[in-house]
Amino acid sequence: MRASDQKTFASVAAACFLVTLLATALPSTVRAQDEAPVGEVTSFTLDNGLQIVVIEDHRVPVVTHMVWYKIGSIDDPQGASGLAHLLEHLMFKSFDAGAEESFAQIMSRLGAIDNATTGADSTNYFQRVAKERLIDVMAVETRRMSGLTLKEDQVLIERDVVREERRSIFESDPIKLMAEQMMAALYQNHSYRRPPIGWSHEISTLKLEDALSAYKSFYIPANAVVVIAGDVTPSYVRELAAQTYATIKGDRQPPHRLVTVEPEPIASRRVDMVDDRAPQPALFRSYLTPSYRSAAPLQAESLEVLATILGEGETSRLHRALVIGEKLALGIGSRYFGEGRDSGRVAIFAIVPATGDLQNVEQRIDRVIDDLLGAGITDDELARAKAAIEARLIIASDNQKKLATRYGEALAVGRTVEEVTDAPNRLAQVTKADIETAARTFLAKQRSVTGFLTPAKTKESAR
Amino acid sequence: MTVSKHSFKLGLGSLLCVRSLILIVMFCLSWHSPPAEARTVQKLVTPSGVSVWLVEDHGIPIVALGFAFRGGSLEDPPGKAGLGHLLANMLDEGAGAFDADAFKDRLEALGSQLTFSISRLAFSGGLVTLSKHLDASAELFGLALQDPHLREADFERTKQQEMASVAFENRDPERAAIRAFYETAFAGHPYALPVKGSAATLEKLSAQDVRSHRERLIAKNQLHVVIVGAIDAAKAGKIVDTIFSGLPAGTARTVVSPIALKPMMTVLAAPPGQGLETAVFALPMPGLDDRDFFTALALNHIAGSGNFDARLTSELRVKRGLTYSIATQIAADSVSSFALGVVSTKPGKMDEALAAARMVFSNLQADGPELKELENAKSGLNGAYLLGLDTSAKLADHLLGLWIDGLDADYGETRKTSLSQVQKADADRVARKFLDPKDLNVLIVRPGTGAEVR
Repeated sequence: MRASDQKTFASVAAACFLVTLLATALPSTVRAQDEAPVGEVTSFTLDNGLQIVVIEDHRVPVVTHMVWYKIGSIDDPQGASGLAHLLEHLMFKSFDAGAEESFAQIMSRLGAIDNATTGADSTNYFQRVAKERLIDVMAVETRRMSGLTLKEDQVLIERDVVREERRSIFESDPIKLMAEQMMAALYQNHSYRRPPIGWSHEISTLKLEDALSAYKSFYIPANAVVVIAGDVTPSYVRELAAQTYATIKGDRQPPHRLVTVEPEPIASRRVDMVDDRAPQPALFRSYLTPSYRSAAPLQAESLEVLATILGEGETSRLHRALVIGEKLALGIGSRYFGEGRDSGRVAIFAIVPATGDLQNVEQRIDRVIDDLLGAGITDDELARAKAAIEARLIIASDNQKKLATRYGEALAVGRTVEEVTDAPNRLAQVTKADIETAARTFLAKQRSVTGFLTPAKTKESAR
Repeated sequence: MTVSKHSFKLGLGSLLCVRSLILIVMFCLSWHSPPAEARTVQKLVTPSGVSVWLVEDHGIPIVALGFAFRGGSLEDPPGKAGLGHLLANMLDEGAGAFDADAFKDRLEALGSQLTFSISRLAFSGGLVTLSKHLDASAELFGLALQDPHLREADFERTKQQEMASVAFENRDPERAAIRAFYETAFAGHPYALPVKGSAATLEKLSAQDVRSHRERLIAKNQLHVVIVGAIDAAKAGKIVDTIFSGLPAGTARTVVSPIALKPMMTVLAAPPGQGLETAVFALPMPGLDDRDFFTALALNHIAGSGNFDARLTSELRVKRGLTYSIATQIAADSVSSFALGVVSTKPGKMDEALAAARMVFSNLQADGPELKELENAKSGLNGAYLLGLDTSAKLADHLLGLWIDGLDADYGETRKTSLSQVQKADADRVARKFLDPKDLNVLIVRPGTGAEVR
């Protein structure tokens, strides 16, 4: 796609936030019988335990089909970080041995856009196809859920591919390496401390039998959620599911997934990395918080609004104090990450001029936070933040894939369709007092990690 | 955090503004039996004479509006590369009665998203807003174009941010390599200049440069507007005139002569600490208006779609585990047309990787594609364009892209028909002519000594 014009709109629509639907807010339009408005959500569960969610969008004859498995890097055995991600790679080789047509050839013939991602909590496979092809991709995923045959040499080559992936995406980028270090320091007990792609030295030792064993335990209907968004109705999807997913036996229970609880933090931590590939000094700050799944009512929503007021965009407190006001930073932002199963975080990131002083920047950030804790937030800030989040929700509902991801990601960590659908209402309920309480509770120094990324030259001159 | 399996990370991004990667997604006016809210394009001319393509869609209460006019980074004065891009980034720093803070507060309270950007040939912008805030958002949009403040203090800050942003992008090995490739392959031609400029050119810019550039650049030169969303034709006309009717007609734009890539091999030293080798490689392709263009599109898909069955991916990743990703795209516009690929691998393995890539091209050149490969490529390419157009914003973006390339709104039909007519004999002939590995223009960035990539 064209680069600059893509930026014009795509990056705008990419405000990757709470995607949800506001079916009630939509004007009525003429549509075929039994077709619901954009964003109508229906969920049902097959006898074998597979949950299927249908999100209707009849504007274009296209569907997005996703399978979410409840397995992520948090399920990687000790010493085998990256196993869930390697397994995801290997799933694309599932038909290679002996089959008439490989997985890639099938996708190519269907004209599908397909890919997969592995996160800490879940693994997601998706295809986007013309709606007539939905049956074909459901059949393919049914096959991939029913059996995986692999040969040793396929695994050895794919391990090399993953190491190249790590090398080209992470190890060539000090910012991404630093982000990994921040997670490793923020979590003292939970396996969120390990990167989903795995540590390099452990990727090299991953074994075929471990991947197959994870496949057998986790890749079963009762441990998966299928999300289908697009120009289809729930009754039509039920018919297709009867021919495909429903044919898989439901004789196994979902596997036991270890839940590790993070201790209550008592000491702030620091990460100091010197990397002369970094063109500019950068400051990172993360606070340990609950996630939507683990939070008390309205706590996560309060953190969402709090992070918006603190550091989302050019109207935020951090931007105005550090970028516009005192020009200590070239850019700064904050965001709440609340999608995880067991825990979340508020993260701040600042890029500092080459001549800048990270300690100054840190002190100024702390002052902005202290001001917020002391004097609270204003009515005007709350109103603007809510309006911005509301608009983001509606604009994001324009995008089939984002809607499907929003639901799949939430359901894969044990949340419900109702919780996701109701998100705008709960955001609207958040009060100033809720936000101030959340800020006082979670923006406490002992809950935080502060990271300095310094190019070697700046480091030396500062000493 | 998410790890992607095979992202097609051809790092073209906003760094290069390769304008014409229209090949990935294409628009089709009516494919299949259209649903109730079929997306047909209405062509309008507003009372003040602006041409508009409108797709009325009341499915979601939002409106996406995009515009483009002739006048891109090629209009940057000599030695001032990046000026147009800097201007695009400053238009929302206060306008009309609103200072920068007030302007942004108001935009946030409306929940509207406003962007401006620039490519080599065009200046463009976009607004995504809730329908209920369309009037208020359009007012801000118009002010940013017609009466931006462009103040000294905002300029200095924006300039520093831009310099940092360019420095960051150049630390990405693939982006740095692509940038170096353009400088080398197009040396002496305006296409060698980076759209965002460099640290050296940005450093010398002044606020006065930006102000005078605005007067020259922001004008109605072949202005075109695309609107997708919950809005009818009458309202669309009013909104467009509110935003654009106050702009001047504009002055003549730079004319650029076409340029073809030549075979070349360049090796640059990676910056210290870079633990991988990156190569950018390109082959000349038929131009946009050449009848062989669509055949080339299919061949590019067969060699470099990035899917596992693509020949480059199959040889370098699936069989050899040499790389995470290898894909090629055709970058075609009125000035040049070539297939561009990027690949990274661990130090010491690039020669093996490039030898495998040469073998792929050499085999395709000798024997052409298999019939099944060709049919898959045709159906894959025809299927993919529809998939890329499922949101209002993407559709608006795409239609605008067609216009920038001088194509009509029904280009999707032309493309579909032309692709389906491609025969094995055409593919064999075009492969023989264009896929000669001897024609490759290659730039490698690897750890070592010598001239360093900038």
